[in-house]
Amino acid sequence: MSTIVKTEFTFPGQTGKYTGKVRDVYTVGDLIVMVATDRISAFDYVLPAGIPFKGQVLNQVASAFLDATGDILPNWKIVCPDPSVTVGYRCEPYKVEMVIRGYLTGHAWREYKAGKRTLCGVTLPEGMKENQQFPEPIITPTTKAAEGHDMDISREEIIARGIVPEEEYEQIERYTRALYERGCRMADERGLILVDTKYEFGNRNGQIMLMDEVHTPDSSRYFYKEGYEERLERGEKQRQLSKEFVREWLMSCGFNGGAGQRMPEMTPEIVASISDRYIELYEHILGKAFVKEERTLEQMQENIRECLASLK
Amino acid sequence: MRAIWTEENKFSAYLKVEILALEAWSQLGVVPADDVRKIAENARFSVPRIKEIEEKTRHDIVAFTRCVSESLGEEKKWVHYGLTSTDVVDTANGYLIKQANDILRQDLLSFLEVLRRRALEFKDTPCIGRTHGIHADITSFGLKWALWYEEMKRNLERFKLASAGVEAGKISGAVGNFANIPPSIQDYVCGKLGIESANISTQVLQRDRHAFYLSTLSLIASSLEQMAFEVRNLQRTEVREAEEAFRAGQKGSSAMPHKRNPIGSENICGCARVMRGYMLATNENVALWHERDISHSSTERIILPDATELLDYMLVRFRDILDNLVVYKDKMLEDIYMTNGVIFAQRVMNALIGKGLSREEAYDAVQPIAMKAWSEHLDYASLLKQDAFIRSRLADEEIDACFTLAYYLKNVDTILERVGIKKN
Repeated sequence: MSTIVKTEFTFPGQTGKYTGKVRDVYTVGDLIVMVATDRISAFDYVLPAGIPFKGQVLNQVASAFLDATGDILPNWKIVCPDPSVTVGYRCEPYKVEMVIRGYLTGHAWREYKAGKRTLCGVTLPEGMKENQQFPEPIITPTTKAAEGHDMDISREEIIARGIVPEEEYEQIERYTRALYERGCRMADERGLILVDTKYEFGNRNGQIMLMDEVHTPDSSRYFYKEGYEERLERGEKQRQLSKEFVREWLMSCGFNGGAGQRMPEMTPEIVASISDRYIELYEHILGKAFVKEERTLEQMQENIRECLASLK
Repeated sequence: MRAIWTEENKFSAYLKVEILALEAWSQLGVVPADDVRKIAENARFSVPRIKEIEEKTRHDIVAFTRCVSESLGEEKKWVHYGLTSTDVVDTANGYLIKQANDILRQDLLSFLEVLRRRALEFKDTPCIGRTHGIHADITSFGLKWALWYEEMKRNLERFKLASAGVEAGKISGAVGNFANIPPSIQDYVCGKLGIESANISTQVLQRDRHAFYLSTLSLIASSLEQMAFEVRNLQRTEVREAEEAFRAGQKGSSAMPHKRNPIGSENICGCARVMRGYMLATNENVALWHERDISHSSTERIILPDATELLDYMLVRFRDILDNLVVYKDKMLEDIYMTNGVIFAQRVMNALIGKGLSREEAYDAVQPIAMKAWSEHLDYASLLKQDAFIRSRLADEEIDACFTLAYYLKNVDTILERVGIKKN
C-alpha cells in the first residue's frame, strides 16, 4: 500500500514551506496548509517507512477536536480539503507550549522521582505515586526551541522575560484549563483518561487562537479508564492509548535513539500492525468508524488547490 | 458569534469607520494628519456613557459621537466630519456581517466535511429508498449523505454570493449623491474594511442585499431541516434505521424511562421555521420610502444578530448530530426484505421485457404476484418460480439474478465522483 511521506506541492501565492518531523506546512498568503504525512518519528528520529493512513488518522482526530472545542476559543482551522490536510489561518505563534498535566507521569514523574518538588514553578505535593492524579491539573509550559529540545519554563519567567505579555498569558492559561477540561470529559465518554496534553496558541489580528493539533495521540497521553485504580494501587504500569507502542517496539529491538544504534527493519507486517494501531486509536478516541481513503499525491494537491481557490 | 453582535463590538466598528474616514479626509488634505493621529490614538467610548447620553439625544449615533468626543481635545471637531449616521451604521454593519460570515463559512465547510466522510463510510450500505413514504427501490445510505453534500455545496455557493452582496458599505451622504463627501472616502474606508464599496446608494444601502442574504441563510436552514426530517423519520420506532446518539446519563423523558427521542433534529426543524420568518421580514424591508425610511432598522437590529447566531448554532449542533448518528445497517437490510422481496419487482419486469414481452405484458405479469406476496406475507421469489407464465420466460437462476443487492449500488462510486466526494 502506498504512503504519503514527502510532498512537494506548489500553490498559487505560496510563500514558504516547512518540513517538520511528520508534517509539511505550506504558507499561502494569510493561510497555512498543514499536511499530516504518513511519516512517523520516535526518539527524535523519523523512521524509514511511512505508516499507511497515519496522516489521515492524526489530521482527522485533530480536526474533530478543533471542531469540538471551537466554542471555547477560535482556532486556526478553516477546512480539511483532504483527509490528511487542514487549511487554516496563519497565526503568529506564542513562543511557549502549554503542557497541562492531570497526572504525575512521564517527564514530571522522572523529575519527581529524582527528588524535585517544583516543576515549572509549580509545587508538587509530597507522597505521590507514579500515574497518580494531581489534586488539580498543573500547567508546566515549555519553550519552543528552534533547535534541540524544548525546555521547562515557569509562568513567572515567561512573563518576566516578555515571552508572552502577562494579560495574554493569563488568558492562554484559562483557555488551557478549559480545553483540558473539555478533553477530559470527551475522553471519559470514551472510557479513557486524558493524562496530559499540550496546546499551542497564536495571535491573529489581536485575537488569541488555538493552533496546531489538539488531543491527538501524538500531542497527548491517554490511559484506559478501566483498571486504572487497580493498577495504581498495585503500582503497575497503566494501559496507555498512545504511540508508546512504536517506542516499545523499537526498544524491544534495541533502539532508543542512542548514538551508534541501528534502526530495526520495518517489515510490511510491522508497518501494517502500526497502521492498524493508529486506526484503532482513531476509533477508540472518537468512537467512529475510520474510513480509509487512498489517493495519490496529485489528487491531494488538486484537493488543496480547489480549496484555496474557493477561499479567495 | 455572540461577541460580534455585542454593543461593545458594534461601537468599535463605528469608531473604526469614523477613524478610517478621517484618514481618507487627511489624504485629501482636508483634515490635518496630526489630528487624525490623535483621534486614532486617544478616541475612547463607553457603552454605559453612550446610553446615558442617548437618554437625552434620543439618537444613538449622536450619543456615540458625543461620547467619543469627550475623550478628545480640540481635534474632536473632526469626528463624524462630512458623514451622516447611516454612513457609519450601514458600513459598520457590513463589516460586522463580514465577521459573522467568517464563522458561518467555517461552519459550512466543517459541515460539508462530515457529510463527505459519512457518504464514504456508508457508500456500500444498502437501504430502502422511499417515495411518498412507501418502499420504492433499493439505494445506498451513502447516497443520502452525498445528496446532502451536494445540496450544501450549492448552499455554500449561494452563501458566498449573498455574503458578497451584504458585506458592503456606503459613505455617500444623506441622499447618496456624494455632495458633501467624495466617493474616494467611501472607497478608502471600504477597502480597508475588506467590504464592497457600493457603486450607488441612497441614505442607506439597498435592502435587496440583506433580503437575499437572509433568504440564503433561511434556505440553508431549510436544507438542514430536510436532513433533520430524515433523521427523525429514520428514528421512528417502526423504522429505527438510525438514531441520534444517546449519551450516558441522558434522559429521554421525565415519565417514560425507555424513551430516546430525536430532540436535536426536532430542535433544528423548529429553528428553521424561525429562520424562514426572518426571510419574510427582510424581504419586506426592501420597499423603503424614497431615499430611505428607517422601518428596516428595527427588524435588522433583531434579525442580523439573531439569524447569524441561530444559523451558527444550527450548523454546529446538527453537524455534531450527523457526525455521531448511530446507524443500524442490519435494520436497513431487514427493511429491504420487509415486503418479502417485492421490492425487486422492477428488475423482474425488466428481465421479462428483455425476453421479448411488451412493457404492459411484463408489468401485468409481475404486479399481481407482488401484491399477493406483500398482502399474504409470502416470499416473492418463490411465488415467481411457481408461476407458470413467469417460469415459461425465466429460469430459476434468472429470477434469482433479479434479487441481488450489488446491482443497486453499482454506480455509487460514479455518483460520488460526480459530486466531488471521490476523485477518479
